[in-house]
Amino acid sequence: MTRSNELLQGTLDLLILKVLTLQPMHGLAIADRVRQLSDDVLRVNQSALYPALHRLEHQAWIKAEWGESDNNRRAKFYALTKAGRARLKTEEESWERLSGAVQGVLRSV
Amino acid sequence: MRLLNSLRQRLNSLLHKDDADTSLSEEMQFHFDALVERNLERGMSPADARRAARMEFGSMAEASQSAYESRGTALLDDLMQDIRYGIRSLRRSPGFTFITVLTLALGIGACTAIYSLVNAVMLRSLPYGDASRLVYLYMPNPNIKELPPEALGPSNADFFDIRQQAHSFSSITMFDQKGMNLTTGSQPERVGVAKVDANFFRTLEVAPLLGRDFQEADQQPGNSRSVILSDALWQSVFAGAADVLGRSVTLDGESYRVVGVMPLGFAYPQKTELSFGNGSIETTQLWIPYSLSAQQRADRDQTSINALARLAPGVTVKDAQAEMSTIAARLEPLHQSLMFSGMTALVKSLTRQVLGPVRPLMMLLLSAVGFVLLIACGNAASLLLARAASRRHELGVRATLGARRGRLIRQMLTESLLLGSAAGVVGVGLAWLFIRALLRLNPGNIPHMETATLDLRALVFAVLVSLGTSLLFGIVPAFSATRINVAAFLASAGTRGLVADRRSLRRSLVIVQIALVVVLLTGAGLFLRSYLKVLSIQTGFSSSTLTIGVPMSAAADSVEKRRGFYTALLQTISTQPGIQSAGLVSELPLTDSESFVTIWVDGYPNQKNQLVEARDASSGYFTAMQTPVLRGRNFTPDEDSAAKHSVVIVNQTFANTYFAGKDPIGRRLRTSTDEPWSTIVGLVQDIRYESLETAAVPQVYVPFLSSFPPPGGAAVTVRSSLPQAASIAALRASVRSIDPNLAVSDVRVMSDLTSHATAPRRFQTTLLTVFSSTALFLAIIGIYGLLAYSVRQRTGEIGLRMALGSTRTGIVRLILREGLSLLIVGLCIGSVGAVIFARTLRSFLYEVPAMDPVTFLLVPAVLALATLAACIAPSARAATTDPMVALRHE
Repeated sequence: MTRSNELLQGTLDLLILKVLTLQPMHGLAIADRVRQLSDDVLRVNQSALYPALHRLEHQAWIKAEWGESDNNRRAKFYALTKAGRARLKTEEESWERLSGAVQGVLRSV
Repeated sequence: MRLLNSLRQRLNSLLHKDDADTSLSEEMQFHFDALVERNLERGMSPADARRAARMEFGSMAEASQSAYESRGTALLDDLMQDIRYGIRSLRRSPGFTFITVLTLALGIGACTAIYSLVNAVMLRSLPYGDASRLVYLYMPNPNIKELPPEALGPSNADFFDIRQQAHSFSSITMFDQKGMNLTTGSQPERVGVAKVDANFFRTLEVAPLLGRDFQEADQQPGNSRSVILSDALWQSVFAGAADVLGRSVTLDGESYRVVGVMPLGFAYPQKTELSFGNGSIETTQLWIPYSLSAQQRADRDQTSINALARLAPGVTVKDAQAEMSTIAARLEPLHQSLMFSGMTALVKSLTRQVLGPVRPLMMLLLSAVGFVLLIACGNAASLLLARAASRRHELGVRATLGARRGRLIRQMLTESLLLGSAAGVVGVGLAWLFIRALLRLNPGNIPHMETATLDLRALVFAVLVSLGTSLLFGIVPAFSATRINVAAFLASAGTRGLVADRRSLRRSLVIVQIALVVVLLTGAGLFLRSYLKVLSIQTGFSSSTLTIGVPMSAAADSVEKRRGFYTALLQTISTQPGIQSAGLVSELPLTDSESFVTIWVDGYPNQKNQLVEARDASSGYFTAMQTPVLRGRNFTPDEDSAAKHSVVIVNQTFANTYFAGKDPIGRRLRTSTDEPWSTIVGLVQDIRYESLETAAVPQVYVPFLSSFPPPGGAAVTVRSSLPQAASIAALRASVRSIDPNLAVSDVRVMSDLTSHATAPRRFQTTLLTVFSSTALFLAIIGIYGLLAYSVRQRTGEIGLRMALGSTRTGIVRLILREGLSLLIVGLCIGSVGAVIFARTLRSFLYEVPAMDPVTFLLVPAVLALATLAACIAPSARAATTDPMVALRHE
């Protein structure tokens, strides 16, 4: 099990919420989309993905529904809720702040 | 709303855990299958496709475990699991469970019982509206040092002036107590009656259950034959009949109409609620109107009534005190008698009056019982530590298999919670028994003690104590036992390991227990020594003298008839067969009744307000009471009926005070300057009248019938050769032959009075002794448990020592040294606590210094003996160890 691209704590939630703004998706699609959008840099480990999805669902930021996948199989689709959209906004802001701060430190030293 | 949703989801997910798990695995299965398909499309072989997918996916078990925990039900679920596991493991060691639960139950039960008592006495509010706004009004005279400030109430005239002038009170009432004869069947019965004015029930903010309370019209002389019944009397006399209103009862031979019934639990004034109430009235059973003639209303010097007031809104006790002081200054010059010169006012809140005297005792009992609970907790913790050591293997295996420390701690704490809860349940049962035992010991001076029950508040307390206890005794073992080094555990091949650190923890626990026991034992020792001192007090009377109270006959309405009544009474009783001596006295010792006179002594630098205790006594009194006449002579029978007193008898303290201990016979004294002198003819031993523990004050005895007017009731004192029951029957028959309407009251042997007087001390001494013996017992078990455990742990070492030539005596010394070192450290720490504790107990002690050397020597001796006893079995076991077996044991 390689964990070289282990995501920073909390960033996975942010990525999931962001990806889900496009359309409702199932777990695999979310993982694929994150990987694709990050040019294969960020790989979401499934053992982190599902707990995160359940946690977000539990906090009512996303909601889940069973539906049909492209190949006509039963899959669970996750969609962003109103609360999730609001959450995403604050998460994005705090990420901007954090990364800006890190950038600042890296440049100055 | 979010919270509610989240809770519902949690609950839902817990109830449908299997559903949730299925849907999760289905979801992940889909993900996995999709990965496999993708690999197949890339042209991999089916086997490779699956392998690659598995690599990419990671551990499915880990994912589902994390997802499960993120659902937020893990805690609840684990708790269920822990409880099931805990019950199973406790059932596997019934001995441990039994002893732990019992020890804790003892502590919890005792605590809950004492809390119920404190709850009944101090926490439950008195049923008098807002009781904190009620105040007593007293008119103390600081110039009369013999009388405590609370002994004097306002006179009638003072009361009416206060009522008119004071603005601090929204309502103010006067009342008095009276023992009366209630005739319902053939036998009259003595009942406690309160004579109250029309404001009484309004001031107390209590309304009758049935009928009405008193109005101004009820107080008019000639119109005052109405009565309000207590619930108890309504039940016992009228069997709770609904049509009781308008029926009549006979009191002292007169008919009274029932106008009301008070609710259950109302019996004000009770003995414990008045500073100097009528000693023979415990609770009030009847209320009648306080009817006063114009002349009585104007009386300023002769009366002293109880005055109770409710503070007006916004007025503090301090404000009321300031106003009353100015009123008292205005009233003082209106008094004729010298007794009132310098009169002041005192406003004292009812709750302070009632609870003030018992608060220290309640605090003492609570802390003592808290100590017992702490010691019980110590034992439970020690037992848990020992158990944890023997469970080391189990815990080690679980840690090795990946159980996190937090999880193990939770498991251990769940077990202690289970033990604590079981102990709580047993403890509540024990508390119920303890409360019954406590009520049996009721000394009668603790207000509302009889209402102590296991009410809701006491039960909540028991639950909280059980939970707190569980944490208290569980937390140390839980953290200590779960400190597992997996590598070290595996290196020791999963068998035994060093447990020394836990033994040292147990040693500290035992030392703390011993220290607490030292503190408690010292308290109990000081109490016991005080109690023994009180028992050996020279009371001045024989404890086997029989006494009865006889009220004045209603028919004797003149001074002459009164004298005739008493003469006939004394004569009839004296001539009964078997009666050896019979006497009359105005007030018996230890009955809370007091009579003072001011005196002038011939040839003594007399002061104003020289107060001495005065008693009217017949010639038979000292004989019947067996009070020794030390000098001079007793009264003669013909002096009993002498018209004017010319002779008196004084006690030893009188002689010491006024004649510097010289022979008082033949000296003279009088009660005021315009009275003739009386000659002292006898000197008797001091009698303790006021209380057993208060040294006698100067006392003067006057021939019984010479006082003017003769007392309105007397105590008969008798010695007889008959059995007690026969003597009582003879006395009753004598009284009946003189007036069949008279009810004999207070049939007692003098030892009843001393026993009643020592009851409060007996109560506190018994409780403290029981608590400290329990504590001692628990501590001994603690020491024994530790040593027995230590011997088991050191079996190998002992075997080795013996194999190397140590004698059995040497081994015994080894174990003794361990026990005694605990004792010495515990004693040292405990002694410091005991000194502090003893200082706070000072006010409870009688003629025993707080630093009583006897107690401070005895307590360590008792503890040393007890510790030795605890060492016997373990050392014997150690000494009989077979070295061969012991070495193989390792």
